[in-house]
Amino acid sequence: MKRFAAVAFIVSVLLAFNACDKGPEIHVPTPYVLQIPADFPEPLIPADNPMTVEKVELGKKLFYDPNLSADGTVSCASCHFPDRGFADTTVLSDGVEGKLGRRNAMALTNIAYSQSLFWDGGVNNLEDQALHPIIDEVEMAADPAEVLSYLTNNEEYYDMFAKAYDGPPTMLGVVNAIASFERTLISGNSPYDRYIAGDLTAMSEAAIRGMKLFETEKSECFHCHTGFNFTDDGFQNNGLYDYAEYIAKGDGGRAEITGRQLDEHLFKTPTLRNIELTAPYMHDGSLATLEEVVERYSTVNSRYHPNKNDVNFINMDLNEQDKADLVAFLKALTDEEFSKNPAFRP
Amino acid sequence: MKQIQQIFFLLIAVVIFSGCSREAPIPEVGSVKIEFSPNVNGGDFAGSEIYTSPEGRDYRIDVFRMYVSEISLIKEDGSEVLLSDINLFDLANGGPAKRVKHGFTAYKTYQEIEPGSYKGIKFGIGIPDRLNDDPASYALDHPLSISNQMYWSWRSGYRYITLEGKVDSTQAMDGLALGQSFGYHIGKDSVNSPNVIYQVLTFDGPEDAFTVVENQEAHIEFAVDVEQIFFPDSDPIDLVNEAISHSVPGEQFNLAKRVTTNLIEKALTKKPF
Repeated sequence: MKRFAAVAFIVSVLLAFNACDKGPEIHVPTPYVLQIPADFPEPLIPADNPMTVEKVELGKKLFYDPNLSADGTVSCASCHFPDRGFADTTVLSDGVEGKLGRRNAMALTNIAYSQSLFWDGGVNNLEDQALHPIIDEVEMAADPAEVLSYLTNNEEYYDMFAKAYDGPPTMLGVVNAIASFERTLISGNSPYDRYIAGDLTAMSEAAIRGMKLFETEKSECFHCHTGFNFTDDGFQNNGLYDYAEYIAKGDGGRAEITGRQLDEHLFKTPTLRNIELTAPYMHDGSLATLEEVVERYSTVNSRYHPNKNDVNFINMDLNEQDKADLVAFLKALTDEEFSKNPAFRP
Repeated sequence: MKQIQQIFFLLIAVVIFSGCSREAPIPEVGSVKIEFSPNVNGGDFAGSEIYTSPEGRDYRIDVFRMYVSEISLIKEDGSEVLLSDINLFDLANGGPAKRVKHGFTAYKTYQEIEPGSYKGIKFGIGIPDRLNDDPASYALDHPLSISNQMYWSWRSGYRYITLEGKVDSTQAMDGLALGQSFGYHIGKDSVNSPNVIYQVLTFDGPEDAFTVVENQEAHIEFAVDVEQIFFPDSDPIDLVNEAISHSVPGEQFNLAKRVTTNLIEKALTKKPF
């Protein structure tokens, strides 16, 4: 028994010494808890990119850093302004050397709920999406090797990657972090939300009339701009132009991805949350104001397109009061807490 | 030393015995595949392919989705085994890009079904009131997720069935252009009337009995003749002049009911097991 006790003592001592000699410190990331409004579902988070505080912080820093671009002038935030619903203010966005993109920059409000990205749905997750503007020659035009060199030689970034991934900077780490930050951009505290939650003073009389109109067959808006995020997350031809005009403009929309005639000139249905902040509107930024948008829709049945979503454009018989009420309602979807949230800013 | 040996043997014995009595044996189970197979008058059907109506008018169906709820197998003793609260079946794969995501198809296989004899199957076409809820209640990969483009609004809830397509509306019916859209978005009306569109179907006749065999898949197949939805001998739908229904109270709701009746009573038939 004595011998047994001696063996146990030696083992204990060895274990104690082993515990002291831990080796390099391993940082365990902190899970990030998304602030989801009560009437919103949980967004889908990819299993291989769980949300952590460290990734979100890193992603925010990368999002606002112009040094990721080829000439150090363009960041993600150059086209996605936080006070504009993370959309751009111009028709088309300026990339490096003043190069112009071909479509209006999409807003990032509630982008965590979007299951396909870009106006044509060319990618299916935020991680893949995040790489595109970094390397696109009319956006940031960066060489990934140079991006990695910059990040690796920057002590602050090097530490942040170590904390987020327990390793050095990688491009996978870059896009996973940016995607994680973008998933935090959740907006659900507009006057409309407060009205729905029971504050009957949150919206004006005009906005209340507009809301009721929005959800009727008279305006038809709700068919595509539906649910908590005011989008069906699908693709539509909304009759912005005649078929010939679409052809002349040369943007095939969803068909550029699928190659199918049925998808010609279909574009993503954007969320209407914070829509007041995201002018100009449509995939080509061709409409400057919400008044112009409503006016354009009110004449949609005068334009022909074989793929137009005309099963949902039956009536569209709006008088001037209706149009003004709809605009008032759309403006009631502006969430100032979101647009001024310091957590979303550098 | 003897004491250490004794402890060592005791440990070995514990490890061996715990290995032998790890878990209860896993019961052998089977699976059931439920399929809605669209056809055109018995021939092949594909979304967005052009077909010709009995009167000679060309048409195509781009979107054909329907919710099937409370799918239950009926045991010999009459008790029911619930397979699923709800699933979304997409019968027109190949339609435009706005179609359903998440891989919903015209069939669904349910696993871990108890082997044995079953006398039939029961399900609802559409959505019962208890599930016709705010889509915020449902995750993005749930059949009732808003991302499946079947949700209308808080007023009307979900579309139960969506049928959309194009038809040649010309008098010549030469098929040169399918210029007119038709669309039937079928569900509760916007004034929240009783849920008359939702219908529970029971198939428990002599030909409906089937057996689930362990480690095998039982295939329960329903044929859906799209021609019978629109062009049955009695009460056909005029795709040109009755082109749209959003289940709005009045004529549109009546049209929605007629399309649903044709689908359930004329187009849908269970194939023998």
